[in-house]
Order: sequence, then C-alpha cells, then structure tokens
Amino acid sequence: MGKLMPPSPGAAVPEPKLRETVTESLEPLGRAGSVLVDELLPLVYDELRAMAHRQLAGERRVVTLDTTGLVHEAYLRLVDETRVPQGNRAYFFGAAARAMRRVLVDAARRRNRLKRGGGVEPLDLDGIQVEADKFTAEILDLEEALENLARLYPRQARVVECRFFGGLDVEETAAALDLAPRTVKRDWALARAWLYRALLTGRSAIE
Amino acid sequence: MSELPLQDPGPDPDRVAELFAEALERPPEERRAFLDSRCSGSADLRAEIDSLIAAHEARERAGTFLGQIDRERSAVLLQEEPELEAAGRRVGPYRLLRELGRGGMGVVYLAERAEGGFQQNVAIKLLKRGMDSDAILKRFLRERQILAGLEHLNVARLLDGGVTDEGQPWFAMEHVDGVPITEYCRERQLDLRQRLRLFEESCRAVQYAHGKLIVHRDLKPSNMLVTAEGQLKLLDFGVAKLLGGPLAGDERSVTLTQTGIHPLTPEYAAPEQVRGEPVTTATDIYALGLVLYELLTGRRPYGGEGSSRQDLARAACETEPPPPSEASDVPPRAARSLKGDLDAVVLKALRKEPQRRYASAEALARDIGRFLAGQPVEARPDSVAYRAGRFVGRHKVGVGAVTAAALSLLAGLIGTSWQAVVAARERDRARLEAERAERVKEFLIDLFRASDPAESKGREVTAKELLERGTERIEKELSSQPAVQAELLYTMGVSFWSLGRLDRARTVEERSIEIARQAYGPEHPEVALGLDALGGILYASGQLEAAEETRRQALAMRRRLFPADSPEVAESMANLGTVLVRRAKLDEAEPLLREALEIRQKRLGPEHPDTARSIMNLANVVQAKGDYASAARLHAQAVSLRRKLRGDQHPEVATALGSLGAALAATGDLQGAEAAHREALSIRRKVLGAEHPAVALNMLHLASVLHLEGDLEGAESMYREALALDRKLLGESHSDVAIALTNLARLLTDRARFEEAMPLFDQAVALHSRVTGADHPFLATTLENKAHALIVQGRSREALPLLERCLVIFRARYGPAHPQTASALEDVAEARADLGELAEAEGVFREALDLQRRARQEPHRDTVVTLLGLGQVLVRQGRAAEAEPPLREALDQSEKVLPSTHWRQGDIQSVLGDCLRRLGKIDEARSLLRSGHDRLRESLGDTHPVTARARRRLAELP
Repeated sequence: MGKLMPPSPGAAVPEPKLRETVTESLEPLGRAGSVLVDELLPLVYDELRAMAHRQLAGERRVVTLDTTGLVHEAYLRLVDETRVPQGNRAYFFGAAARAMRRVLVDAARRRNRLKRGGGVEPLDLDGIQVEADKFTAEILDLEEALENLARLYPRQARVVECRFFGGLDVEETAAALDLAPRTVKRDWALARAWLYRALLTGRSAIE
Repeated sequence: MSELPLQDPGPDPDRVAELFAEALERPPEERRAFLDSRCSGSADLRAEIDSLIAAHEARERAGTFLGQIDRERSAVLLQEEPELEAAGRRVGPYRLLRELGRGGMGVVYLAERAEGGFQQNVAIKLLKRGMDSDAILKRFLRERQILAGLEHLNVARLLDGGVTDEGQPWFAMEHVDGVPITEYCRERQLDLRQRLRLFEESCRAVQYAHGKLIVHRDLKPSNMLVTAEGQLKLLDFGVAKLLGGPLAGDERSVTLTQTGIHPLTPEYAAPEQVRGEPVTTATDIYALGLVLYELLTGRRPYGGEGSSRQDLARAACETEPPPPSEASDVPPRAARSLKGDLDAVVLKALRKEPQRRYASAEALARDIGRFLAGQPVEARPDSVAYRAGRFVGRHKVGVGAVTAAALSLLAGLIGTSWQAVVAARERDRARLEAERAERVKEFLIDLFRASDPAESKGREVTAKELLERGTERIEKELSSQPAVQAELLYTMGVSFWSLGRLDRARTVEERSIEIARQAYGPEHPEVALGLDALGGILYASGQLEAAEETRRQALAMRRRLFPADSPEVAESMANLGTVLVRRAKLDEAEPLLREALEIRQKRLGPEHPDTARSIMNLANVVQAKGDYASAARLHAQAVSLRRKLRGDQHPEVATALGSLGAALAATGDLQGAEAAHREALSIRRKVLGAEHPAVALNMLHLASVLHLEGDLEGAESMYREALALDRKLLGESHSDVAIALTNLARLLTDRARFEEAMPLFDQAVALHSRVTGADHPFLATTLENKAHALIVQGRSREALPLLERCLVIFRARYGPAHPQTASALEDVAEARADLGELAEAEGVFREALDLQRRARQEPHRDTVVTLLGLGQVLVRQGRAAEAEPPLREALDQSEKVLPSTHWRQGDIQSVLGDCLRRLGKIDEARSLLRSGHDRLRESLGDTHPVTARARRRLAELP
C-alpha cells in the first residue's frame, strides 16, 4: 500500500523577506578628532619617514624626542603656517594620536607580512633590525589587546590612544575627548591594568 | 548542530570601571571591605575587579608600562621601506614605464600591460604607504563593477586595481594623452561656438555618470582632457570616492574615519565643499560652471595669482561672481556675445545654494544647446529682491560655519592633489542614500495618505489597492530618479509576494531589476538583491527551474561583490539551497545551507531572524534526506527562536510551525503534527487572510494529517478546499496543485472511489512532469500512489512499470536506504502478491521491512503496512504460524501510532483473526474478526472492498 505524498517535503515554503536597509551613520562634524584622521595620516606618516631618513643620514641620536614631541611639533608647524585654527588644538591632538596609531600599526603589519613573505633581511650592523622586530611584535600585540579593550571599554581605549600613541598629557587628552581630567585618570588606570593583564598572558609588554 | 550557545556577556563594564576606580581611591587595606559591600551577590563582578586590581598592582611594581612611544624606534619601523625603483617594476599585470606625476596620495605612472600578449598603455595610480590600504581595497572591490560599468566615449575608464606584494593599493586607468580643455581651447584658438560644443559634450558625459549615481567631486580642467584628435575625456570619475570614508559593515574603519572634510582643489571648490557640507551632483554642476566661466573669459571668477586658500574659500562662499561679460580682460566684442543669456547660464550654474543651480548636467547642456540654436535659454538672472535676501541670510550663518570653514581649510591644505584626484569621502554615497531614503519615505507617506478617509471618501482601501496605486505612481512619477524607483519597486514586488499576488510580484520585481541595472550597471548589490527576491517569487509560483537559475545568478553576483563570509553571501547561499532542496538536489543543497548557517551564526549571532531561517533551511534538507527525528528537533528549535524574535502571531512563526508539523507527521507523531498545523493555520488566516497560497498549503498539510489519522471525510473536504484555493491563486501550473491532486486521488482510492481517483492521478502526473520535472521525487510519489490504486483494483500488471520508474527516481535522488525507497519497494511486494508471485513478494516485503527498520524509528505507520503485507502473503502460502508474529506486531504498532477508529486497525484485526482461525485459535479469532469488521463498516462503509473482504473472512468462521 503506497504512502501519502508529503505535501511538501521539508515544507520549504519560500518566505518573502524585506531587506533591512543598512544606513550608514555619519558622525556630526567636529566631534572628537576622527574628522581629521584621514587628512593627518599622510602628514604624520611623512613626518615619521622624514625622521627616519634624517637618522639614517647620520643624525641618529642627535635629538631624541618622544612622540609628545612629534605631535606637538606637527601642531606647532601647522599653526605657524596658519593651517590649524587655535581653537582646534584639542581636536587636532586627538586626531593626530589616532593617525599615529594607524601609521604605526600599518607599518608593523606590513613589516610582519614582508618578514613572513621571506624577504631578504638587511644586514644588521648595530642591532637596529632586532630592535625593530621587537617593536613590531609589541605594537601588534598592543593593537590586538587594544581592539579587545575597545569592545568592552571604548572610551578607555581612546584614552590609551591619546596618551600612549599621541603622547598627550592628562589635560590634553581630556580636552581632545571632551572628558573631565579626573575621568581620564581613572580610565587610564583601568586601561593600563586591563592591558597589562591581557599582554602578560601573551607576549612582552610595552615598556 | 542542535546547540546554539549563547555568549556570556560577563559583568557590566560600566559597573566594573566605576567600582575599580572607587576601590583604587581607597587605601589598600580598606578595598576588600568596600568591595564586599558593593559586589555582594555578583561573583563575576567581584572576580573581575579583583583581577584588575591585582594587575594594577603588578603593573605598578613592574615600573613603566605604556609610558611613551619612543620616536626613534617608531622611525626605525618605518625606515624599512625604501622607495622601490619604479621603471620596470611590475604592478599586477602591468609594467611601470615612467612617472607621470605625484601628489599627496601617491604617484601616477605610465605603464604597459605586460601580460596577455597585447600592448596597452595605462595610467597606474600607486597609493603611497600609510593610507588605509585595506579599506581602500575593499571599497575598490565593491565599487569596481559600478566603475567598470561607466562606459562612455568621453569618460576615461577605470580598468583594474589591486594591491602590490608590498601592500600598496593601485588602480589602473585608461591613459589619456591630452591637454586640459582650457589649454586646448587657448592653443587651438577655438571660437565661442566650438568652445561651447566641447563644453556641452562635457556636460553630457557628466550627466551619464550622474545617471549611474557617480559624482565626480573634483571636476576641473586638468581632469577634462582633450587629445590631439580633439577627443574629450573626463578623468578619474568615481576614483575620489575610493579613497576615503567609512565602509559599510567595517566597524574598524567606521570608527576610525567617520566623516571628513574634503581635501579639495581650492580654485574649483564649491561653497558646500568649503563648508564641509554634503557633496551631490550639484557640486559637479558648480565645477562645470567654473570651467565654462574659464572657457568663456580665460580666467576664473575669483582669486588672481597668489590668492591664499582662505581668500579662495571665502570668495566661493561669499562673493558673487561677476558675470562673464563683465570679467576683466574680456574684449568688448566678446563681452557683447556673452551678455545676457550666457551670463545667466554661467551664473545659474555657479549659485551658492546647490538646489538653485541647474537640476542636472543635462539641463545645463540643454541651455547651451538652446543658445547655440539661437533659442532663449531657461536661466534667468537673480532678482534684486532675491539678492538682497541672500545678503541678509548670509550674515545669519554665524560662528558654526566659520569653524567648519576653518576646518575644511586645514583639510584642503593637507590633502594635496594627485593628478587631480583628491580624496573624497564616502559621504557622496551616504548622502545619496540618505536622499534616496528620504524620498522613499516621502513617497510612502504620500501613498498612505490615500487611505485617509478624507481622500478615499470613507471607503476602506485594501493593501492590494494601495500597492497597485503605488506601483503605478512609481512608474509614472519617479522615472527621473531611477535609484529611488528601483528600490520602491523592489519593495512593492516583495509586498505583492507577501500578499500572495505572485504574478504581480513577478512583473514588478522584474521591472525593478531592469531599472536597477540601468541605474547601477549590470552588477550591483541592488541588482543582486532584486534577483534573489525574483528567485523567491518564481519559487513560490512553482517555476523551480527558473528560480534556481535566478538564484544562482544572485549568488554568483554577491560572491563577486561581497566577502565570502558576509551575511549577503550567506543569504544567497541559503536562498539557492532552499530551491535546491525543493528540486531534490540535496547533495548540493546541504553544504550550502550548512555554510550559510555557520556564517549567520558567526556574523549575525545565534538569535537573529536570519539564523532562525537558516536552522529551518537545514532542517528541511535533513528531513528530505529522511532523518525525520533530527529534522523535527531542528524545526522545534526554529519555532521557539522565531516565537522569541517575532512574537506568537507572526507569519514566520506559522511557517516554522508548518515545517515542524510536516516533520512530526513524517516521524509518525500525528497528534503533534495536527496541533502544529492547526496553530499555523490560525495564525495565517488571521495575519494573511483566507486567500493566500500559504493558507492553501497549510490546509493541504493539515488535510494530509487528517487523512493519515483516518478521518477520511474531514480530509477530503479540506483537500478539496485547498485545491480550489491553490487553483485560484496559483493557476494550473504549480506543483502544489499536483500535490493536492495526488493526495485527493489517494484519498478517493482509500474510499474505493476509483473512477474519480484515476483521472486525478493522471492530471497530477502530467502536471508534475511538466512543472516539477520528470525525474523529481514528487512525480515518483504520484506514480507510486497511482500504482497503489491500480493494485487495489487488481491491475497490478499495469502498476509494476510505474513502480519501476518510481524506484529509479528514489534511488537516484535519495539513495537505497531512504524511507521513500522502502515504501516503493513495499508497493512492489503488494503487486507481486496480487499477481500470485508469493515467494517473490515475500522476499521484497522482507527487504522493505529491513530498510524501514534501519531508516526509521518504530513504531511507525509505514512499518505497520509492511508487516501486514508480509503476514498476508505468509497466510496465503499456508504458513499461518509464521504469519502470526508479524501480524501481532502490526496490530501492536498500529495501536500506538494510529487512532483507535482508524480503518487500518480494523483491517489488521481482520487479517490477524483470519490467521488465528487457521491456527485453530477460534475464540480470539472470532473476537478480532468481529471487531475488525465492525470498525471497517464504521470507517469505510459497508460496500467498501476492504469491508467486504473482512465480511468474507468473518463468514469462514466455523
């Protein structure tokens, strides 16, 4: 005795489905520093490159400035040429810090990719390559940890960006992010503890 | 696969941050007590804070951590990138020849194609390092189809793009050997009419790109080249867009570069660009106005040599340009030909407010054409009153605008031009989309206003009327806005589909795709979206082959447009997989559906509507493969997920319930199946109305469960109702109609109304052969049921070839061990038995039984049927003793899976009674024979052959 036909095997009824429109949100102009990142990126990059060239040309260790110097220097130069209006100093710093982070992370990633690709190693006369390898690893580890941090604590991650990559002090960070200095201090402590813990379980910590 | 783990959210970050900070502000010895008091009841929270405090202390002991980046080390990291020698270097399939120019974003080279055996010179733009190469590349991959679709004689084409081994993005453009349009006119000393013709040509080329929703953003003479042959070429269309802005779905780049000010060439910047306002097609019209000004007067309206950027920006925003006829250095004779019409045309293109310029490049071209033809132009000079009003308005703008202008100046300075390509923002796109969304909204509001009693004169307007009216208006009123038109038609098409108006859905959806193709080119996310929907409509209309083909196209297109693990690709995989299941191409369907589910779980999360849909899809393929129990579990999971996401009264919940019902019926749980189908039907009737294909399908399912439960009368009337509705809504060419016909014919066979049944079987066979496919399991099932009807009528010779065909199909599609294959074998055994080939029949019954026991959980109604057949054939061979155990088992199982009133139970009792009579167990035999006969009289009636046979057996009692 034959069987009944299942009316629709698997009852795969096609269902109409309306798309959910993806709308891209635009951040209002002038909020935080993100506005300027793209514009600053080539600039910061050029600045770092120029510095590398000067060092290679024998100016190495003549003037050793930290990143505080870099961001402030760029600012001073642009203000000098009246390109940055005074009032936007804070925004500029925030954006510059972010640009700095991206330039460094991109450079580290490229370096890593080239190494994995088996490029020819240049002769390492004074340990520069070893140094650079170490730094590359540190930057990449930090970036990964920072991205994880940002998922839970986005504001605190921005504080790290300003303070570490931008070399900004507490007041400058507070101005760049529209926060109270006290909040910046608290965020900085939390972020450092969090990152320290994250990086300790991984590889070397950034000194 | 049945587990969908939820992610543990962990303690609330805000709370952690707050308590961590407060704890640190206390002396170390007080912290424990403080935390004890604040974290009570939350072990997670406490553990996280303790861990962070420990890390904090360890960090302090360790000394510096995240102090400051050493600038020197940073520099070392970057010095590792020597500039590579350009000449001879390979970039993709090209070899660089020499540098053409450089700017802030990179370098442009002349290059030749090094592969493929033919010479082709191109311009290669190699982006400098430090740009966000990943985002640019993704954007390029997404845009390339659109840009490749820009095929116009006067538009230089974007040919190719990629990333070098060193990670630098590059684009290859058609190389144009020409000079800027202004220079060309000057050198060749073209007269006014020649210049205007060339300019008109430029406008038409710009219009062409605007028609494809591409804004140039940086039009200027150096991007408008004329070759030695006099051929005009516009360069870098769409390229600006590639270089900046957020990428949808890419969170990282969204947070890094939300929006931006456009670095621009200040001499050609429109006021909205200077102010950092959205850029639209009107921005290109402004730039065209500037170029025209320059072509007519030899100079730009503002700023002489040495003007600062601030001066230029301020002038663009605030200074009214002098009419061309009054520009300095214009000789009086030339001034006379400019005065009036051409002044008005130029000034209209150059208006400060984008919305007051020409509505399109086409309109500007038309006015030029009118001038050349000696007709009056449409442009009119501004009235005095308007100009006065503008003056006041300008001074009300205030501080905000000043800041914005200042910021954009900074941007303008930093972004240097790059063979005239300047980084644009994704903003063009976002702006266009926002505009489109706005128009869609306005249109819909306007449309719904029609259901306002005041407008519809008190009569209630149906959804269908609304859609019809909307569709008509979209066609009529929006032809100048193809993007809006395509999107709205898409929505209308899907809405018709939801209402079950499949014919309308199909034509409207096809129209939407056609318009989207015209607007965006042949390959675009919008086109793929439309194709996917069209595939669904075709599927719903029963045109499975076309549905498969369409959805294959959609999937292939989305794979080219989106990353392999994107939700868009998953969507198309799931959609194609669904059609493949229906077409019984299970081996191809299953991996697609599994992968789609994985992507959705990963990208959308375990509790997303699409994930729920994917679970159902997978359940369907598992079910088609014969694993009914697993299918039912998955379906139940989908039902509860959908209830949670959509609420109880949602059509999607009904679909999931319907699928669950079908799976339960297959496992043998008829009660559960009936409940699921009834709930689904009630939801659908409520939400979709009585006249909807999904309601018809639902009734078909419910009727078949009633049929299996033995409620033949109830089943017959519901089959007929479903069939009538299907015919009305789907026409005569839909597989649902064939399925309804088959099941109704089977029901009539069970009621011994063979004359009514046979023509219906033939209709169903014809319909399935035509619509569903000659090698589809649906057809096989119809053939099997027809064969069964023939056997019952004693025409088993005719039945055997049908069963042979049926087995070939099942074995090919489902394999030998599938329950459906077993079922067909059982029919073969019945036929053999009917023909008196008893030994042969016995063997086949045993084979079928063996397959069923392996493929299905018992008790099951199919096993009951086979056991009964085996018992009968043994009795007929005079082996009653051997027949008793299978017959007893049949009765036992049937009591578990069938309602006590089911006619089949009467049949089994009667056959078992007969067997026992032969074995001399007369008392038990009598009681079974009587009860069986009674039950059959009740359920099938006195005259039914099965009842008649039972009566004969009863009569043989001593």
